[in-house]
Amino acid sequence: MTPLGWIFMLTSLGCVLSLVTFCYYRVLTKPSNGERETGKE
Amino acid sequence: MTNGRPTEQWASRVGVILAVAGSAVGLGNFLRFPGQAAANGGGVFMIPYFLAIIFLGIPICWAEWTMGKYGGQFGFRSCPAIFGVLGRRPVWRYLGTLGLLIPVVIYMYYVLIESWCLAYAWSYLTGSIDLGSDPTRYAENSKQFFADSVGAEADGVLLNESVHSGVFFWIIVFTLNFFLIYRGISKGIETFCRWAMPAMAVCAVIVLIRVLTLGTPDPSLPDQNVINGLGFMWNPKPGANGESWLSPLSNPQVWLAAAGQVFFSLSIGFGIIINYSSYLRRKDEIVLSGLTASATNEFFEVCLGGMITIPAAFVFLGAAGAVGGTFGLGFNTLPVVFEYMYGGRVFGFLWFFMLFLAAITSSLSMLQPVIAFLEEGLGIARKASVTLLGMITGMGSFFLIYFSKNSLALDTMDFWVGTALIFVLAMVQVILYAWVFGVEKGFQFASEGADLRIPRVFKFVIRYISPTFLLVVFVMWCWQKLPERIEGMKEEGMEGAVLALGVIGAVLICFLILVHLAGTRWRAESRDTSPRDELPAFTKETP
Repeated sequence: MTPLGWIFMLTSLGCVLSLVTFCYYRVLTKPSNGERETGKE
Repeated sequence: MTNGRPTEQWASRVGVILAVAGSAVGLGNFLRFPGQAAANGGGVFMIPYFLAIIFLGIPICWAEWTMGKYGGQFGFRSCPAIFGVLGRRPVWRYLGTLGLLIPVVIYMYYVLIESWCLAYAWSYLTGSIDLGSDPTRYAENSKQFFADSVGAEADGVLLNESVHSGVFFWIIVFTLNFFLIYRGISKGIETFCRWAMPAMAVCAVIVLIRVLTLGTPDPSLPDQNVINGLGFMWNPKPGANGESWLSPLSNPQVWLAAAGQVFFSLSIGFGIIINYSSYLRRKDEIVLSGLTASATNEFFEVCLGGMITIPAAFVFLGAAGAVGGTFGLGFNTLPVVFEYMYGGRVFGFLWFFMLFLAAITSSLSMLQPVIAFLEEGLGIARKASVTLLGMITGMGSFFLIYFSKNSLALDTMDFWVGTALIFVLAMVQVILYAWVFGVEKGFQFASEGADLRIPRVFKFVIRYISPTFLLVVFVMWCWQKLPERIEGMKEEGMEGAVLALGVIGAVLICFLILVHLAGTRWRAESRDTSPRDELPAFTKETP
């Protein structure tokens, strides 16, 4: 595997994992506006 | 049901995200993506791929979520009705027919592929898949096993004399789909996706760990190791004549492949996201939810699909074995890989069971848009809607079981509906959202209750870049594929393919008539929207 191959693989995985982590962190830890207003989970 | 309209809703935010993600994650994530990346520049493929996600995938997803939720506030759940609300002209309602035709026809063949996955998983579980003891004949035996399983030898072989096991698995899968859909949005689809999606991830991670720990299985072939397998997938592949590693970016084919992969992978243009998001309440969030569903799909595609299939095939079969289309890689090559792999029977079961879960979470989503239409458009109760749809899709799927020779009929449906028509529906949706409904209005509605703000630049993207991107990709696709396909239809032995076109036409005509009847009914009941109809302003008290 070439250095560029490592760069592409790790960058792609890093981008996707960062996005997934950010999204699920926001979804699971901060209730949405609608849920906040009703006190619903 | 209120005023004849279904009043179902999602039970939780995570539930709707997993249901939309489950709809998007399918066989293409694990089998099509790695093949496309390896064949189109390796790691460099990811540059046009990520650009296509930003400029095509995510903006259209947000547009679909917005249109669905907006139509849902008027009590409508199906594409024809929602397009009518947004476009305010009958022609949009008729264009919305595509949002019924596409999921129904795709379901007809997708449920068959789903049954192949379950049959393979069962074969690994029971040890009934046997590729022999001679490694030189594994590939040949694997192809034969697949051909026998799907009836590729001739039309009608699956129905000769005794019932073929493939038909048995099709009945199980077909029944399971309709059992879950009958239970409804929350109790059926949402509940199933809430456990199926994590289960799919667990199965995929176990197989991934096994692949990454393969090392160098055959010491006599030291180059065939897992690091080189990853390299085969991710190393940038320069063009011939010593060109730079960036040279694939000057090839339009690479951009076309990347845009096509993103487009098909995110389930854009299926009419499914519109239907699912119509069950949201007005204060429900859609921007972060849409982004999370898309991100989940990318996780399965890039982080799991991109790390398993090609490296595993390369380690055991070398560079020549690590190429192939979706079915070739999935059903011919990987069984050979599992035959070589220590513990291959267990990992083979996990792999095909995971593919089965990926397929069923997608196929479930294809039924709901039509059931919603039958309920709200024709006033048919859910039980009767499910039964009617079961009969329609059952006949279509049974047609494919009979015309099984070389999967020609299935391939025809996939080409015309699963590829060409979803481009058309996506174009219709983008034009409707950006140019008829209005980007400003769409962004304002999407921001109601939103946890994230859509960056303003996306107004320009969805209005100009996404439609242009779509149009260019579609025209290039037509240029490359249509002449060959039309010529192929003239050859002998294509009866199944021609009849498949007839099935598509018949279903389209039926739906056009039903949409016309539904429109008449809505107008008679004064439920059709008029230009004066607007939603009241959004406030904190808005339900």
